[in-house]
Amino acid sequence: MIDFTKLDKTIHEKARLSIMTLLATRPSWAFQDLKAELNMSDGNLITHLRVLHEAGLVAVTKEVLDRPQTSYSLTTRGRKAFGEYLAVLEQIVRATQR
Amino acid sequence: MIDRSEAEEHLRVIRSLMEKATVYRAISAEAAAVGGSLAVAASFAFGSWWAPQSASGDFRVSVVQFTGLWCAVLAVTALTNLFFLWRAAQSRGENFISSGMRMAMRAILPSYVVAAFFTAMPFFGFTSPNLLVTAWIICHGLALLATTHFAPRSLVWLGWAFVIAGLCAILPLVDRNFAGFSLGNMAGELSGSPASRAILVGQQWMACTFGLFHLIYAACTWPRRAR
Repeated sequence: MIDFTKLDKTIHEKARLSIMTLLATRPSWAFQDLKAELNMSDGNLITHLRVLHEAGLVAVTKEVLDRPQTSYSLTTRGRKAFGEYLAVLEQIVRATQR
Repeated sequence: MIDRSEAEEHLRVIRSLMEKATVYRAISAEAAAVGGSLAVAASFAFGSWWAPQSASGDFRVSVVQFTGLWCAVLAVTALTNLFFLWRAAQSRGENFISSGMRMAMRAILPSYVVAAFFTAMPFFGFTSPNLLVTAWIICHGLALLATTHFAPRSLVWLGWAFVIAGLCAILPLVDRNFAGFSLGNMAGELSGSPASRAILVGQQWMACTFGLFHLIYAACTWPRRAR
């Protein structure tokens, strides 16, 4: 029996799913790198990141190196939610293959 | 509730993004530019290409000196590459010795062990710079091709360019009918003794492959800042 409650609605949106996927591949991503990789506008990316941050899935770090830089990373909760989301997707595909 | 096709589509998105994000570039564009420029400069400085050094046309560099020169170029280029890889890892917030780097090292190691074996041979009396250069070119190409599964396409093309150039360089060594294939002959007859000519031709191949190929690679992959 597939537990659809584990299919996090916040992650399920395609743009946010892409952000979560990239964040899962590295410890942290600079805003500019995320933007370049996803080909999204500043406003669009900021909006989605804010939603993920408010849901407690993404952490934000602001630092000044040679210039101000904002980096994003998955929180422990975010990583767990992403893993569970993946597991549900796999279950759906497997269940309909039988 | 979502159906199977939607789940598959989402899994496809996740997979393609993960593959894209885990691509590892073992040679940075900056290091390729430095290495390529150094190779061309070293080749001109020590080969002086079409103008041999002495009145008899002999070129005053032994195979050991030739090998030492290119080992020095390799050392500077490798250190430059490590520096730029370290800087890129820092900016991504990753460890310098990342899983990508470990994977790349494992892939390239066998080819470079073979190259190192050939490099040591002149110190034990081996005197064919052409065969040495050919081995370096082919081994470097094979090392790059060994990273195909996680390397960006530009590195794979660079690997093929080296392998093809290496095979072209080896033809005159295995069959006299291909003697016209050597760069020296293409650009006109070289004067001097056979040993001197061999070193000059070796320098030309080094400039064209390790020099020119890396400069083209650097130009094609130079990092462009997102606006």
